[in-house]
Amino acid sequence: MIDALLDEMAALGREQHSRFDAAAFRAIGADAAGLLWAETRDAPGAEVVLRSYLRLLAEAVGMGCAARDPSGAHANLLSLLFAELVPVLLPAVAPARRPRALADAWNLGEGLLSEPAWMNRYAAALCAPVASLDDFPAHLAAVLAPALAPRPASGWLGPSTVRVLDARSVRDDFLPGAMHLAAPSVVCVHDRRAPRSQLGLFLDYAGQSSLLGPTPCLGANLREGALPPVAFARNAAEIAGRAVPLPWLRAPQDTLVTAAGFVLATSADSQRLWVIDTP
Amino acid sequence: MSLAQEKCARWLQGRATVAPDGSVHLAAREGGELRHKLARAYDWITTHALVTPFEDVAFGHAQQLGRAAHAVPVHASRAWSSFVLLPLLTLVTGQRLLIIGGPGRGKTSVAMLMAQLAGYPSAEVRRSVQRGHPQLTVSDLLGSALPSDLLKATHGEPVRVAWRRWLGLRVKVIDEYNRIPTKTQSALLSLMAEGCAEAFEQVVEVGPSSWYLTANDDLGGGTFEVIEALRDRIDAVVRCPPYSGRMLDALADRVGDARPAADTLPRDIVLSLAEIERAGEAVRAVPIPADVLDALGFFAGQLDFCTRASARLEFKNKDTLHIAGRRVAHVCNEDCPLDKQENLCAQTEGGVSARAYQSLLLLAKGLAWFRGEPAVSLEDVRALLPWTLHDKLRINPQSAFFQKSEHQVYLTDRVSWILQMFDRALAQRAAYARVREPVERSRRALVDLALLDEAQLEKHADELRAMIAKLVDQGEVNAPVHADLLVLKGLHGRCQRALGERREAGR
Repeated sequence: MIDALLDEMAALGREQHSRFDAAAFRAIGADAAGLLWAETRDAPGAEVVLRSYLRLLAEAVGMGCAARDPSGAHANLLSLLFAELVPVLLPAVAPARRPRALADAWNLGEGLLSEPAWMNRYAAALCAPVASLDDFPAHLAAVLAPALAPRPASGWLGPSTVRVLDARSVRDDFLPGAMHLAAPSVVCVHDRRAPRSQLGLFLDYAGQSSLLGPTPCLGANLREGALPPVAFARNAAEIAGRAVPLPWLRAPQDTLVTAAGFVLATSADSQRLWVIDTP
Repeated sequence: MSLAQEKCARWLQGRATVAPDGSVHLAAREGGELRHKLARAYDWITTHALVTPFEDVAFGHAQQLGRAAHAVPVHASRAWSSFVLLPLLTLVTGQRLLIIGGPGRGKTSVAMLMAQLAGYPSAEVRRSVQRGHPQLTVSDLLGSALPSDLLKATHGEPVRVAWRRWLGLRVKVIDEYNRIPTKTQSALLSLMAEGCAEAFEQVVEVGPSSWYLTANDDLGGGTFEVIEALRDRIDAVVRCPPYSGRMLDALADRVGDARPAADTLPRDIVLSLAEIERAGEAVRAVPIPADVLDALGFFAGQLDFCTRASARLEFKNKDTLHIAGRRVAHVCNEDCPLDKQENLCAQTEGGVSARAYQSLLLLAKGLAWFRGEPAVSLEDVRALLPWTLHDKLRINPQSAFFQKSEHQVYLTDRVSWILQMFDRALAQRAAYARVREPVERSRRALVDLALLDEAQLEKHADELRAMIAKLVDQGEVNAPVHADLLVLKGLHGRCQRALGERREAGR
């Protein structure tokens, strides 16, 4: 049955989309549909749910949205949801709620496509470990809220908090290099050696900044005016005339200063990232 | 409610809904950039319907590879096939395109595909194609009076006409238009030129349309000679490329599929009529920089110029010759002092109408829009020039320019001929920049004569006279100099008029 459904949906995809990639659809759909069917086949309306899922997956493939970047990270939330999360998490949703959960997942994923690229990739990076599709809209809103909340400009008076993050905790061989600000609270960190490998970094006060995981390049490069002078020395930084100790930092490889009060540095000989926040 | 919650709530109102049977339905996708839709259409057509490796519309710097005589230019940026690109641009600009080429090359197919892209079902498209043949009457083309009305009628007015359905379609396809009898061509001319048709004292308006005409051989191979006015109404011509032997696998796939490729047109590349209108509006809004217009004007001014046509400045053009029953070859000889290799006027038998430049500019706007450029560039103009002038610019084969062996290829390849003329014009324009600069300065200074007093006007008139004398005395009067002289003479006339008005008012 799954094979016939895959053929039917592939034919529909070709009728609908000029760039429909039937091979990619089958590559994702065969395993995903098998998994979903194995876990839901005994529930009422299981076939309707499976058909709906494959229909939505075909649409995502046709729109060119079911895609990963060369590092393997999903390019957007829609891809993460329909290629990975839905087949695994939908069986845990009550049978009567499954169609609604599918529709919501689609609408949220497609809605994010109309937003700047960084937001979609940020959401995909943070939603990757989600454990349930129950109330996924609320979960997504909670994930996005800190990134969308306005951040007042810092007065740089201190005190400052230092957080040292280790890229190794996310990817063993990641060497932090160039950084750019995708949004006031979101930084894209590029790997020095692998040109298409990036990590997302969420900036937060009180030493709460955190790595978001692998992501395609978050795209935007926000330019902010009126930034304070920052100088780096061995194991320290001087921000607007104040010295802030930075343990283990010998010479910075790349640095970034944001108007909201964040100073970041990577080092040539380390997988660490130094984040100083000064609210 | 936080911004994130607001966004999520809005996204949840998306196009996926749950039907009563529990299935998830997706509404049609709306929005998205129309030029991206057109780009998808281009890609689909060139990979599924009219597979072609010939990408002759290229942009950016070209690297010449190989020996000079056979060097192959390769471009760093994307290239397109004119055979598919021009029909798409015609669709969104509502222009009239002639597709020429041998039988079986895909002329009618590409035209019908455009109609299907505009949302017409394939069966309707097939029915609506007007096939040119020697017996095609005006009634066949437009429609006929209702027989019942004809029987009862005592005069023309009450006779109702059953207009042919194809007249109301946004996309109109005329197959083999050069096989249509001359009288029927005149009816077609009214449709194409005025957008209306008349029969039995009744008029039908056809509205904005994109026209596709096909011809096996447009230069005399048809059953009937195409009337000049109809030919002039065609905005651009495009050639079908020959089939590439390397593309036989695509043909093999097609043989294996019972349905024609056009019948599998994906829905995401079909444009609604409203979308075509919107795309047309977006195209018309693309600006054309003054520098682009100036370069085109510099080129255009050379085509019609003939220094030997008349001793008077205003009549130094090829129309003067033609009205006298003479041709360029009669005067473009060793008695003319101009260098036939350098001056473009020697290469053409005439210029082209203002309509042709209008068509070119609209298509160039379309191309800039399609490429996502903010304004029309010289590259857009250059890419389209051969196709908009293809059938309109007549060659002067007796010109000394074509006697050189390396130039003889232009007698058969009109596209390369027109391109080399434009490239020469651009090079000449750069060389003449210093000579033209004072003329341009005068033109800018004299935009608003109301700001100048009598003494200033007299000073400007003196300067203009001195500039005219200097231009005439310093060298040969070729097309660029002639254009400048016309500008200066015009400015001088305006100054004189303004002076006369001031003096009249002062009396």
